[in-house]
Amino acid sequence: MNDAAILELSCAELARAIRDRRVSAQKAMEATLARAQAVQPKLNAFLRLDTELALDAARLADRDLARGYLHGPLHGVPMAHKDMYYRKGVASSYGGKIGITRPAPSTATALERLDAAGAVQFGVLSMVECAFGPTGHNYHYGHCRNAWDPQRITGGSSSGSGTSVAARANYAALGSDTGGSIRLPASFCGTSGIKPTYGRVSRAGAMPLSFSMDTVGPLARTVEDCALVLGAIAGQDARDPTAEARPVPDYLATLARPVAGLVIGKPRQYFYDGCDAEIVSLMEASLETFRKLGARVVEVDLPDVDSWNAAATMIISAEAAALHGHWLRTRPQDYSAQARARLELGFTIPAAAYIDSLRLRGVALREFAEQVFSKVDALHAPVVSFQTPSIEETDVGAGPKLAALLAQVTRLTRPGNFLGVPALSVPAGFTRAGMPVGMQLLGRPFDEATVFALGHAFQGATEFHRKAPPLQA
Amino acid sequence: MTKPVEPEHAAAQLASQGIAATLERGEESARFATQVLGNSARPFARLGFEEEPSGYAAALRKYAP
Repeated sequence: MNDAAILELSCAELARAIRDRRVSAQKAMEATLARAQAVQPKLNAFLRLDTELALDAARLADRDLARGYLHGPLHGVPMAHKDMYYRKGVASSYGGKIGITRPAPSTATALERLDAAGAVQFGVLSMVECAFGPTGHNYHYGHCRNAWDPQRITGGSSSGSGTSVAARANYAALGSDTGGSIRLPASFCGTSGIKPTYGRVSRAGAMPLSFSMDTVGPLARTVEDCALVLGAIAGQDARDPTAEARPVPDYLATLARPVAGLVIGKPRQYFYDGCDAEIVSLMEASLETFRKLGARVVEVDLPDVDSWNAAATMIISAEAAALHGHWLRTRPQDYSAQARARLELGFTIPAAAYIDSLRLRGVALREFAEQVFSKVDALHAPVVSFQTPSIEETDVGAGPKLAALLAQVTRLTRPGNFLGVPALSVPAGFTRAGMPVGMQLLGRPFDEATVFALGHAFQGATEFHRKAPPLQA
Repeated sequence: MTKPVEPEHAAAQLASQGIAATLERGEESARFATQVLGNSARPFARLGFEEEPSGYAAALRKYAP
């Protein structure tokens, strides 16, 4: 198999090819590293490539496989991750300067589990500073660029995760999602991405932003890839008391379950307010695909989702300000003006309002579950309501336009974080400008299996996820 | 009914927590606080007296399939 063919494989397909010895881990790593180096000048997706370490690990994977020792379901698969997952003895940048003086005391649980599954990490990826921004701008290391059009935003904060996977320079990447940071780059870059249920994946060793809302999940080429990676990293962890004890289902085994008979909800309120006409049309076409697959699509009324956004904002802002407070006082110059401006806002939240925001979450989830999930198995909605903007037009710095931009970009993703339910972003088509558009499927708490089954069936009936950006290296 | 947060008050609040703030930052912070406190007033007013933050974790488990 030549390099181009190897790079077109999904994560699951490559894992099978390596297991079957049709491709060596070394050859896959060499092809990936060459592609990463080739696209880097255009995309600025990588903050570091660990070339020699990765090649050594890939050769070891090949030697072990030759001896009959399969590390796990991701044996030999190259991966790079958002630069906020700790690797013992290595400093993560958090997309800025704050982290670079802090060698990690231990490795993130998610990385340990990917190591155990056989994945080989070959580098770290661009991200928005402190994971606190939804566009992909970075004022320390340069803005990350969309593989479909480098003049346009990637979405964030898992910017490098989205664009590296889209560019066929990475097979799967960990992102994190506190207000939309997995689903936004997945949608803008045309990849799949799962924000799991809060507590489904351990946050131990992942840079915190908002401990009540942070989730860890993958962006990958396909829903099957997301299921494969989530299955490897999910589950109870003594290092994170919020990591849920309930068993992790075999997501790959349930992927192919029939979707005929499942009920998909189309929201009557909120998610289509002011939505771009092309996006509305792509959403309707995706619902029609689900109908053809045998799912039933029904319109559903939502609780007052809009009224929860202020509470979600207060939780994130107050927790982020508390976490960064010491450094904001002692090293303010090490933050960009935009990050500092956002982080400082949290100091104005009264304690009672922060606690009321936390109290509201349970009420909101109960209302949503009883009003929506009593009628449907998943809620279908756009990830964003507007077409992918340019980097330039969204480069608002720390000025007065920042708040409006943030609210607009995260408007459709933030409810999923406040509720804490699983939300899968899946490519649903392309605009006339040639940019990908994602749909999101929100499921019941800890029911990632159902949204995976729906997304996988959709990808079995469509080709959007197979289309590669026309990026010339 | 909530009242707007004054920029001077927001700047002083930041300063009291050791954050150096210009009046411009005070204005931004005041706008932010006014907006989120105003927009959350209605749902907060509906919260039951006994509602606790732990109700969220309980709801996650209750509505899991």
